[in-house]
Amino acid sequence: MKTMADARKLAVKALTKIERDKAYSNIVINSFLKETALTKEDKALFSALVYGVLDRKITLDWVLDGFMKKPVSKTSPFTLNVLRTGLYQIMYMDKIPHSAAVNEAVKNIKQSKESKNAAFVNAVLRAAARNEIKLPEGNTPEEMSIKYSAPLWMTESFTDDYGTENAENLLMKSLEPPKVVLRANTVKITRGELAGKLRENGISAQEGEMPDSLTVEKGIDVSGNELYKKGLFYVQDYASQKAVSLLAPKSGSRVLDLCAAPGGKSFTAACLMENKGEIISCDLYEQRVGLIRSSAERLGLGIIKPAVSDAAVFNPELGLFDYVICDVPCSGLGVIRRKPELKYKTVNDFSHLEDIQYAILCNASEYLKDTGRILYSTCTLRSAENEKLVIRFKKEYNEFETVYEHTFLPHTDNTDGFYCALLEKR
Amino acid sequence: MALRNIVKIGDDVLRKICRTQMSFDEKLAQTLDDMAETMYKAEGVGLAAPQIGILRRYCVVDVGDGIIELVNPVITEKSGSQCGNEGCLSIPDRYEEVERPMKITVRAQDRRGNNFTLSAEGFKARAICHEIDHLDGILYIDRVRKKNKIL
Repeated sequence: MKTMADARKLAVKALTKIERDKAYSNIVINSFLKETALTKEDKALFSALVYGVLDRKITLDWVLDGFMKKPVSKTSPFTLNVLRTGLYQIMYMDKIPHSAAVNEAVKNIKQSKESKNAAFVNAVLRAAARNEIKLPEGNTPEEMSIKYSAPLWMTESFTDDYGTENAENLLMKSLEPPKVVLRANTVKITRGELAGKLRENGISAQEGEMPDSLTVEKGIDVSGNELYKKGLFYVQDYASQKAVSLLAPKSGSRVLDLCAAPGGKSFTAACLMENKGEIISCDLYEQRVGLIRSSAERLGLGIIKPAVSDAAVFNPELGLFDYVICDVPCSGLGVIRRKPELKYKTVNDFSHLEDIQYAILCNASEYLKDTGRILYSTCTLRSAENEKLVIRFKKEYNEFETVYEHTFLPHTDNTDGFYCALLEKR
Repeated sequence: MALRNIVKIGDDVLRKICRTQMSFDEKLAQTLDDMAETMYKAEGVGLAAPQIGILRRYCVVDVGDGIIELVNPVITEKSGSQCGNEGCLSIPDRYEEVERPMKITVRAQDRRGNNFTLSAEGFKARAICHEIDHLDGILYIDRVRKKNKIL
């Protein structure tokens, strides 16, 4: 007989795989959940452990280092993940007794290929469970890096760009679970009607801050829902909804969405245009264009025309537009609470992005009719990709003026971290 | 010691009724050792002889409190009932709910042929019942309650 899969064991396996293959956490978690039979409680524990350890890895490693003779970096990945998972339960899961966290970790390592490390795991975790764990209290980039489990380059970048206070608040907020924000497909249904139908389906949704938005708690599988399949709503954070509403595309106009996949901004534009006019939604890859196509069909937004096109290369066949949306590829520092693995990149991984972003913005201007508007946006909090890039653009293209510019910060705007600038051709 | 191949569902050997083990020799001891090693490697909690292609009545079980070797086991008493998920090393990546007795008493022989009786309850009873079923060509999927059945 085969034993029922063990949530903690599985979490360690998933973490080791994410690290080794540099894989996306949500993809690995979903495939593990599909392939193994776990009870409902064990599924929740498994996801909480994997996301939790990814969120707190820097903090956990710093604490472990204090209890170990050899540095964390010299420990094998599997043993280290057993330690991190155990320590995470000790530090952050109030409902799990310390003894259970230690015993399960020891059991796990004993049953693995690295069983020789069992005594070591036992000693380190027992010490951690016995002693009070004190994290640094100050707010220098070094201290915030440990406290909020963010890499030093990130705490430095936030401090430089937004000041110490904002940096600390947004780092704190980045560890809270994000809400899922839905937008009603207003071509088919109003927000009020949608909330009623969701309630009938057992999903409680609160009215959100944007006129057509609803929020639901994280963990509710909205895409499995019948109402989702009927195209009555889609998932989109406030900041993106707000940005498109500021662009305010008029019904009957022509819109170009240069980096459209998975399609959210195009959908919101189509709703605001009451599904009249034309939206060309481009992406570089056929597969991602397919995503836009299938969602647009589901939502019944017929004015959306998906197309494979390179956002940085001018394509005269597309014609001229009243509005151009460029939601450029970016470092994603505004969405680290949704994609915790971004924390383990280095700043060098982002160095090429500014050139691409600038090329896309310049190209966007080529498509614009006179008095047309560009919406430039990123989901990152790095001035080099945001306001500094826009300033550089306006120096070279002085016919553009900024109509609106805002950096959404998680702790003040209650959204993902997001930047948008509305540029008008004069 | 050596790892043995675990026979997968679809192979007829899993559906045969096994014969009584008559000789308690070095070969039996060797096979039982191999079965334990194979079971641990596959992260199993039990393995029966037909699962490694041997049609004889013996199995090994370890639910975390030590290895149990059962040669020619017979369940002599059953009481209560429990429902829970089971998986099988011969049926990869599937788990389904099966009803089993809560408590059992088993009479069996050890690897030297000495008779003994053993009582077990809960998960251990479940594992032993699952393995003894293998000796009669029964798989847990045969016992899955109708409403839950996938196959």
